[in-house]
Amino acid sequence: MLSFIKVVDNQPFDEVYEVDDPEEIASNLAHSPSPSRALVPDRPVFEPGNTPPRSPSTAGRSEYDGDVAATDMEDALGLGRTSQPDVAIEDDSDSQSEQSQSSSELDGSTLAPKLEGAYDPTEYSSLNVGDEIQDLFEHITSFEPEVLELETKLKPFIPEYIPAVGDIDAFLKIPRPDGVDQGLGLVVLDEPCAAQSDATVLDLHLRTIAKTTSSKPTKLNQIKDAEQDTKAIDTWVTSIAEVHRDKQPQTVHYTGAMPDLESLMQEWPPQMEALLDKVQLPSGDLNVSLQEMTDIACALLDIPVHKSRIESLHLLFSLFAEFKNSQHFKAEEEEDDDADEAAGEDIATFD
Amino acid sequence: MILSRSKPAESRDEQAMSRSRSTKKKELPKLEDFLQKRDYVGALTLLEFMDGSGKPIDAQDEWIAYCAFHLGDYRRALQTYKKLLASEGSSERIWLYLACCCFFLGMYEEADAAAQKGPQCALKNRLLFHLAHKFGDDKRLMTYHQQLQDIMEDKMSLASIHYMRSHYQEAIDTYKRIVLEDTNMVALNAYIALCYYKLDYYDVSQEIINVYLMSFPDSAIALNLKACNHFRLYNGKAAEQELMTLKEKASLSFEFAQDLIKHNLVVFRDGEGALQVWSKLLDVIPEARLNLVIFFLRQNDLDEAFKLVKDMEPSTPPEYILKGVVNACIGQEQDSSDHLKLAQQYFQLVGGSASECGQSAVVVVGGGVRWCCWCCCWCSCPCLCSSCPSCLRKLWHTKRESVCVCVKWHEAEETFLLVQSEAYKSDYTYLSWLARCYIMNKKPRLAWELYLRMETSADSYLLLQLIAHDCYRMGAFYYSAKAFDVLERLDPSPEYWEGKRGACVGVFQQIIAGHEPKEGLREILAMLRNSNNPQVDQISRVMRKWAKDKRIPVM
Repeated sequence: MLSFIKVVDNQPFDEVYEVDDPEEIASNLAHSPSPSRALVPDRPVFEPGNTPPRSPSTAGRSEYDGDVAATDMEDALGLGRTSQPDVAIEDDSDSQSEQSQSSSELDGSTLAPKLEGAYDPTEYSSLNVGDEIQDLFEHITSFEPEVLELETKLKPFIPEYIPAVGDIDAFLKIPRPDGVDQGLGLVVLDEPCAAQSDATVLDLHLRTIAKTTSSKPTKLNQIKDAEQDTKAIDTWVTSIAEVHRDKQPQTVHYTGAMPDLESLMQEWPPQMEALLDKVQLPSGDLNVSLQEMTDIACALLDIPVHKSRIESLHLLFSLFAEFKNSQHFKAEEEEDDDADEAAGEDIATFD
Repeated sequence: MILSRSKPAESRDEQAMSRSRSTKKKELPKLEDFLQKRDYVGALTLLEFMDGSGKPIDAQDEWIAYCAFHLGDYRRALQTYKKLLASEGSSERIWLYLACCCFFLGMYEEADAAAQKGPQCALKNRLLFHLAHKFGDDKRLMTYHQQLQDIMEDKMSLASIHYMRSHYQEAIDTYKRIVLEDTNMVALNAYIALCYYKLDYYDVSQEIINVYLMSFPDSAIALNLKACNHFRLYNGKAAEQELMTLKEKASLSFEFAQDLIKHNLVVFRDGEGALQVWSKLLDVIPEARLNLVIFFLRQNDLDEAFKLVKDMEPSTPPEYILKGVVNACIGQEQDSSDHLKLAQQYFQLVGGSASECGQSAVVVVGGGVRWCCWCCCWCSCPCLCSSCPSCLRKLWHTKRESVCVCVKWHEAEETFLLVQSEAYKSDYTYLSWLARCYIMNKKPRLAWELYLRMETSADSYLLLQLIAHDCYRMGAFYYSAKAFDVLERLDPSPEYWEGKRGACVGVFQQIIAGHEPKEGLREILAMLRNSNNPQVDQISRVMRKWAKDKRIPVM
């Protein structure tokens, strides 16, 4: 249990001294007592033949109502706003002089703490009361309250989060291989524009324009968090629609009636199959014009020729493509390479 | 006002139009078109397409590397240059370009080695100049500095070194001089805005960056800076809005500065997702480490915070301050004078730097140790501060805004009441100082209420003692008596009895003087009865007699 009567010897910090350099300050830290929560009564302790020793709290207390403290505070504030390094020095000397001031004030000073608004028995000395009550009043002054030293904590300010803005262009840049100066970093910041092309979409566009099939497979992007990123999906849909708009139409509307691919793919009658075993199909060497060759091929495949051979040819190639992509025939192809080769040659002549 | 510019800023519509125009003519777009638009993804796609279709453009790989570099894909550029170097007859300059890639990838040693192999030229000198800065080699830095020529690139390069060394004013001067001579140099406005941002002139920065944005509304760097200005001037929400503008303007394939933007979004959202995002960016964005430290400090996870700053060699004010703060916190917690000493040194270093003109908060800690903590304006802390007159220890108690000083009790009370953090508010240090402020400001009832709200504990016992003694000193005998009464019941020591006796008589005196209501007498008598000291009877008798004379009912 804490007791207030505890007599406290001089503490290391009882002494007020001049501080000359930061090193000295630092060294004091090492042997100063750690701040404890203990209540340290600082009622000055009288020792025989000794002047009242100073204690930290009395020193502090005497300053509470002192103007010195207030002015110093304002000084420090004012200086703090103007120039930084000065404050350090100013402040140093300030508090040194303060310390010496407070010590001089305290030397031989009264023990009664002067606290603004503190209890003052003289206020009540004029009360018209009997001796009995007057005696009671003695009790008030006979008890001397302690000045309890409170623990203090340093709670440093935790700064706000710091956004990053990046560094300034250091001009360590690679010039264009053709030596053209685009003014990057001077006329315009050297950064890619925000609206970069979509590589996949552009690639499809390029294929359409160049009408060549690149050997390279198309790269496909993935949209992460597709559910949230509706903008991404919309952009993709519109850009693909754009690609398709530029492309050749997928279906051709024939002007005359044409049999559908399914019926054209039916097997030939057995007689025809038997005949084909014996007779060679006409080859590209046949001495006829391209038109006649077209007519022959179409007739063989049951494709009608109306006004224009183009439409018939379109159907013919569609039929060829259908055969080529058909899983069923692919399997057969592998079994029967020869037949496939013959058919391939056959069709190639029309090209 | 018409800003002269050599190239129009491309908007999405224009771009779409130019594309459809080119498709109508069924012509392949030109590489130059993409380069002028700075559409490097487009340029790379074209280059790859041409390669795939068997019609590669001249110096194809060099173009690929160039585009990848300017796109910010330094890794790809590096790979391409390595491939080029492996092939026969490659130019020596490729070594320099390779070094540039290494530099941007943070591979400074490799960059240095590669740069040395390149031919002597301005680019090489600039590269070595910047490398010397990164290595912190001032001697080399001076050598290359002297070799800088009077050409635009070198001037710009030097200005960027000024910026990195926190000499913002020098950088601004350089840029301003160039802009005055040639108004075409619009990009320099962005650099000036960056410098003003660093100097904490956010409104100036905002004005200047808007000039750039008028010409190039989709610039990621400029929009990010604008967002940061908004963050400093207003709040995170306003800042996030700006980043959203960029997101709207950018296409899906836009990946430049994404790390920066991800990093800043977490900042603007007050640390939401800090661990996931910042941990990954630790060595990519320098601020990520600092922010993570701040995050841990806010979580009061001092160990993690210390781990992050332990090996950090501070060079910028925020770094010094954070090292100081972490050390101060640890010093407080572990009672370690070493950490406190370090913290003091860091704060002093920041305080002494001219560039960081801020307010100062001087905190004096007892035991004859003087502490100087500089709290700078970048942390936007309106410090109420004072130098402490003596060895009195002061509480520097902050939650964003308050620094408390116990010299002026009124100010102190106000400042304490600004504290927002619940953790701080329930701290005994806070409560005891607030109670003392209340008592000194003649509001003992509020102090008593603080005690009443506390759970019974060692702390509440201490607070009771504080109230008993401080109220006595201030002549608030009623509350002093109440406090001593409770204390005496907890521990019947003569000390408490004496205090209670004095306080009770004090109330009596104030009743006689008419300063206290007469009804209080009954309560005083009840409190006296709680003690079984022989003096009680005598004191009570005198008080009752007086009450009887004055016809005050006390029974």
